[in-house]
Amino acid sequence: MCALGQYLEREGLPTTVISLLAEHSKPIQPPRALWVPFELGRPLGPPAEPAFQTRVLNAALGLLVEPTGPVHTDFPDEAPTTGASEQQWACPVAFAPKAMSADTLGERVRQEIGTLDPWYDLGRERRGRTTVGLSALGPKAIVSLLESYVHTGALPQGARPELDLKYALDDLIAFYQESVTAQPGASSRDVLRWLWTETEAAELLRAVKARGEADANPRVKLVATGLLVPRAAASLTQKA
Amino acid sequence: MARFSDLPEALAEHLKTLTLPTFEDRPFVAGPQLSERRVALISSAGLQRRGDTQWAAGEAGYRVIPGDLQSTELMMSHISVNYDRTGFQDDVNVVFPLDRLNELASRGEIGSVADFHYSFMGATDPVAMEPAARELGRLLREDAVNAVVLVPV
Repeated sequence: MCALGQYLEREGLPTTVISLLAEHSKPIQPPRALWVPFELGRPLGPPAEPAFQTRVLNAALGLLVEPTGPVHTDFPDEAPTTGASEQQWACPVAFAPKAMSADTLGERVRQEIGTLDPWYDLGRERRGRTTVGLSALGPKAIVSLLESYVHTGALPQGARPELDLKYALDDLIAFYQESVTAQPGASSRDVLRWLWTETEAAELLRAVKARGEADANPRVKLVATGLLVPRAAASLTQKA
Repeated sequence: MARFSDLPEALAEHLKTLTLPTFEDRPFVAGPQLSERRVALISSAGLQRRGDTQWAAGEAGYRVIPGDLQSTELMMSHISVNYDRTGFQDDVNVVFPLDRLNELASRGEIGSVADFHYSFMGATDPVAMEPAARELGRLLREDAVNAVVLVPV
């Protein structure tokens, strides 16, 4: 983003950049930068906090009226936390115990999806939108696709099979995330920990990654190595 | 702002390996008061309209986000999985504050909001984005934009 600011200013356009990562933006010295103390993925701070978002935006816009530069300033406040995120979060979804559930991993994930379905619908209704839909497949069809890939190495048909695989997997993750956050209160770390330690889906996603890392197709290997499972999930261990 | 020391170790180590461009010049374009500014958003979140082709690794172009696009049609297909998406899932303004910008315009705090906004996909080498950025400069001037807010993810 800071480099884009440089390029656009050379084209005669005044720019102001919101910056999330000090080590990446300070060396570039963009014309105007607002350094914000928020987590990656949330440059305007938390969701559903319009007054706070407006303050951040106003602080960035305010740099545009400075007559000379570069102008760099820190946003003074941390992101506000809300309600349950300051306390111990309790997942509202209860999955069937593993011992009582289906035999195959794919079946167990499909059972989870069945349990999550009403929560996903609730979340979609509350938000008025969903971010699921990068692939053309529904969650259970995605499970079949991923299962098939793990067992046979069969990739989706198309010109960009590695990306079709990735975005199907991203859709499945979004489905889980939107379901478990249908009731507000979970922090992003709560959701990360839940998804990668408490769900059967995590086992399937890790299996896809492992299969992809051994794939003969270098593009699949590249995607599987770094673009499927968050690095932050690597240190999280799935519950038995 | 986040520092490497605030991030999970594996992510911080990855980010440290990325090469940053260097610039010798320091361009700085002044402009009128905010009430006379026409403002555009440029995101690096890999945003796209629902149904557009998803981003690919290394892609250096941009996608157009019309100012009247419904939030139900705004999608994110950034190739990185190493940042939070639950905020965007809950509220697009966390990443793409178009509602907030329109509110500022309706109160007269800025002059107007551009008809078109844009997204890059920030995992691409920024040097490769320069041709697209220069082209965007022309498009933005044609839309009478005189302020750009650059929003990372």
